[in-house]
Amino acid sequence: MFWIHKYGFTNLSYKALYSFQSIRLFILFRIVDPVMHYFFYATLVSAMIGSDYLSFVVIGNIASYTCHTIMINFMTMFRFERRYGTLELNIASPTPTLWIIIRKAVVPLLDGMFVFAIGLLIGWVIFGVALPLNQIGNVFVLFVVTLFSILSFSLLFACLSLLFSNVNLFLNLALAIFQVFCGVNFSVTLLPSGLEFFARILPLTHSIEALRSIYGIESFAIYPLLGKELLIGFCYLIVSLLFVSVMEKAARKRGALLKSI
Amino acid sequence: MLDIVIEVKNLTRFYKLKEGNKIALDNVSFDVKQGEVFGLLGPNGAGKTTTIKILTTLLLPTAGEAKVLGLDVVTESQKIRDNINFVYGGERGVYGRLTGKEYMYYFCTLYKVKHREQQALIERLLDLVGLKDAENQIIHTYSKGMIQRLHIARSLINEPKLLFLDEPTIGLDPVGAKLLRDLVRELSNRGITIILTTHYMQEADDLCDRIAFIRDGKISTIGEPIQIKESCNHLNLYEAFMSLDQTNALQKDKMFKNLEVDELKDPFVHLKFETDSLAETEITSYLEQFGQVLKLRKREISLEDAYIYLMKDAG
Repeated sequence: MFWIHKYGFTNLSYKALYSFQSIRLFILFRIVDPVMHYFFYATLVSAMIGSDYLSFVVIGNIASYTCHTIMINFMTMFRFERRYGTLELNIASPTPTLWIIIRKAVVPLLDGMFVFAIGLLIGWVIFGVALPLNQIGNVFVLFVVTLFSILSFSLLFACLSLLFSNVNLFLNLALAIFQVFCGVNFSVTLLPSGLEFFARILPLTHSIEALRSIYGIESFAIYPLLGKELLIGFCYLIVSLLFVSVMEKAARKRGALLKSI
Repeated sequence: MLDIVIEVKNLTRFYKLKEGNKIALDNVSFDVKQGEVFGLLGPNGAGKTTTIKILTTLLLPTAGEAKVLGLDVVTESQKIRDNINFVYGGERGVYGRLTGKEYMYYFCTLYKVKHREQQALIERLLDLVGLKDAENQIIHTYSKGMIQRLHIARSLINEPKLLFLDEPTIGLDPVGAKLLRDLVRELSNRGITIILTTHYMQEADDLCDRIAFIRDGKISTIGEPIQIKESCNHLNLYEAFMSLDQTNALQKDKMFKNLEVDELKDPFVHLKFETDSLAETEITSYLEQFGQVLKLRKREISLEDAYIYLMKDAG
């Protein structure tokens, strides 16, 4: 169903709505930009507390950048739908709205997969953060679980964003919260207990701890962390399902719920 | 006796605004018969689009009842959506980076057309709307008329029994508008019931079997175009061709109602006006004070005349 062919839904969604349509843009935004991003945090942290902490921050930022990529591109697709006036046509079709949203997530997920793999490569080549080869299986499991939880959250986020006329403000706010509270640059155990609880109900937090543990930077048990990440993903998925249903009803009732921009 | 495919009873819709409730539809009732082209005409903000949004199940009514193909718009929206489609006027609603053919494939998937049937269906529909030669062109390069025809093709993917066209010819050049009107006639001939909103009276007169005038959320008049025009037969509408000496004086004169002066090659003008009870000889002698009357005749009532008169009356 998600098979990519010339006239398939996934390919056409990509062509119709995705921001990066050329190799040049792809290299710029999927290789150069993450390198600069990792460099920024690596040099900042190295200058402040020394290079011992570099691996910790680079790993955190690889996971975080992957999450950002998926969320931003997912949101952008919906922003374009609204700008082009096609969202209503999609929603009015016999295909359930949730199914449309899920199918549109395929391209951001593939993009995220690429960014994650390139991130690990950059971490190894530029920052010397080498992946233990015996952990490749664990990295794959972590990747699948993390994509699931981020996608579930993104579904909720995509639905919520339809309520706002300024999606960018909403998106930037969410990305900043992820950067601060998901333990990207420091351990969430350093946060006050209330904020740590908040951090632990966000997607990504447990994945970052698990990824660092896979690299031997932290020493948590990997699978319990991934289990929690999976559980959080399920919770967001259920909330998303409910929210889509409520939103569709509210949109019909209020008529202007899906703000056009 | 034709079947009723749309049944609207006391349909009411409020919009909640900061400054209070705005009534978009106020106890509207009408029905549409199978195979009809039904026109919904009115000024901007009259309630046309709200009516269409409710009937296409995109909006819930505040009160009243609406049935489409015998199905309730509130509780049976999914079944209705399987059997209808809609086109909103303007250039929105397309993915500009896709080709016409790709756009059709995209919506074929959303409308659950079987994969093996998609190609033949798309070829047939693009051929119907005259876009077969442009099927591999990027939509960004399409003219407004081509985009509208692509919308029509998209709206036929699910072989709808009912098609809603909301100002489909808005912004089109005369040739594009004519192509679209021909297409609407062709669809009507194929037995599709069409609900059409438009601001163009001639278009409504040409296409519609029945028309409803709507203003301030209320239907003021409903009937066949000829009946509506006949209901205004008491109006004394005239047109005249004159060689005019005193243009300003005529325009300031209050003898005639709704006077329109179209300036032709100087000093000739074409006049349209309404009088209450003057005879043609009286009109001619009155007009002679402003110049020479070349021709005067009682004008046939057009739908536009009836619309202006009846909507003014409704206000």
